[in-house]
Amino acid sequence: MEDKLLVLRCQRGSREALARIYEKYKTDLLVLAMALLNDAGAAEDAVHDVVLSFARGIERFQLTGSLRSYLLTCTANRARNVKKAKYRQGVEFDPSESTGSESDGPPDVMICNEQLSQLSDAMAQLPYDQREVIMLHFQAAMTFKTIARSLDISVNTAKSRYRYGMDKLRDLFENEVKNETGR
Amino acid sequence: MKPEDKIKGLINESDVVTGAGSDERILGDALEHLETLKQPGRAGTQPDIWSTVGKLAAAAMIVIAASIGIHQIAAPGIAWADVAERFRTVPFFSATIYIKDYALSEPRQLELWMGPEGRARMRIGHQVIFGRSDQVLKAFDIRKRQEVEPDRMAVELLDMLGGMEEYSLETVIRSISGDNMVDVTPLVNADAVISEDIVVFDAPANDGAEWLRVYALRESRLPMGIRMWDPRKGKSVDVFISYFRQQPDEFFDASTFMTKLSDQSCTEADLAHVFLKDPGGQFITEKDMVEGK
Repeated sequence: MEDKLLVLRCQRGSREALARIYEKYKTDLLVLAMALLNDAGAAEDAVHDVVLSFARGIERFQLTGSLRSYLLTCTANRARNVKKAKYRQGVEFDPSESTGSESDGPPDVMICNEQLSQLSDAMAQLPYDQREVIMLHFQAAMTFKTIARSLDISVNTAKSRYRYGMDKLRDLFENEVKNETGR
Repeated sequence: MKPEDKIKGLINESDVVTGAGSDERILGDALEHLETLKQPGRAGTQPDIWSTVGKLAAAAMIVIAASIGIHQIAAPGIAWADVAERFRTVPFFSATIYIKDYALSEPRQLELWMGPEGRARMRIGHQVIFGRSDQVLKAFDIRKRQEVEPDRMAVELLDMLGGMEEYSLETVIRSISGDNMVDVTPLVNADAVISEDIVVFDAPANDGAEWLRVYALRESRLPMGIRMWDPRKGKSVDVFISYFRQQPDEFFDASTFMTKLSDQSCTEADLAHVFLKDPGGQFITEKDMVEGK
């Protein structure tokens, strides 16, 4: 209910309401963007674009479901566009570049905790299509049907991407355990 | 550990720390854009007195405003503190609001009950809605007998009621009309008075088309009716106000109401007004009549 009121207040130009929405969901949005892009600066840019786009369309916006899910879907869409743009420019993200971790992140860029760094590193091992489905399924709690509709793919494709992604993650995590126990 | 559990765990425990620089960079442009929504004269941003939502909100807010505004206008010797204090002592009032978009349209009706400490209950269509201050607490569909998402008008209305910093007719009319009223202090219209018991105040709009009229009792200065009118298409909002004694707490209690939803002996008509007590001792619902309450 609070979200509906916040949206209404935003529609009347309330800065406080928009700031409250941002504060409420920024961690969710940044975690998703970071997991998808594995780059703190790019993740911030993606969330910036989502929030700005939300503000620009607020006059016509009608909240019919969960605001969190809506913003997460927007973030995933935006991250996909960022990824495509980078791909077209021939620039691939280097996982070894700054991920905003505490040790090497510039002071004015968001700082990720250890779990988020692990998450984004693991996701970076997967093709983008697979990590997208996995994150939308787990973080946004979206069904495969909803994900399929959102990504304009078939439900079976969404499920396949999820399955292949999870298989790779299983191998990845098992190797991690082996490496740790073998030391 | 299964990869699903591992991923879930990592997501749940993931966190970011954003400094002021990050937040400003992410949020700054959006906040700046929001400022443009506040610019005067921008269509669709100020609640329009005749807009679909604005009409209801306007009517209901004027009800409240008039409750104290009239005192201020008609009795200049009364200090604001006295007015505010007097308003606080009104334990309960209700308003029935009829809205028409066109001279030949059937009106839409809304019932609003306001109690102390910002407690509110509304009925719009099939919905009974409970609120407090600027929050909708619960909304129920009395046909489906289940909790539902509240009507958008109800959300907007409660937000506006709770968001008002000061209850005066002047600030209310200014906020709802987007400065569309020439003189927000209604003036006595002696010609419109048909009885010495009643005093009538008028407030015209800037373009001279829309106007607002408040009917109040001369002695007590309590407003009894409000009419807003647009002569161009005969749009209108009519508000009828009643002042009751304090209603039982359960009248504003969403949880108690919810228990009645599963009570099949309560008809839809019973549910619409359940727990409402008439100050004159008349029965309000059939259930009350049958049970002799």
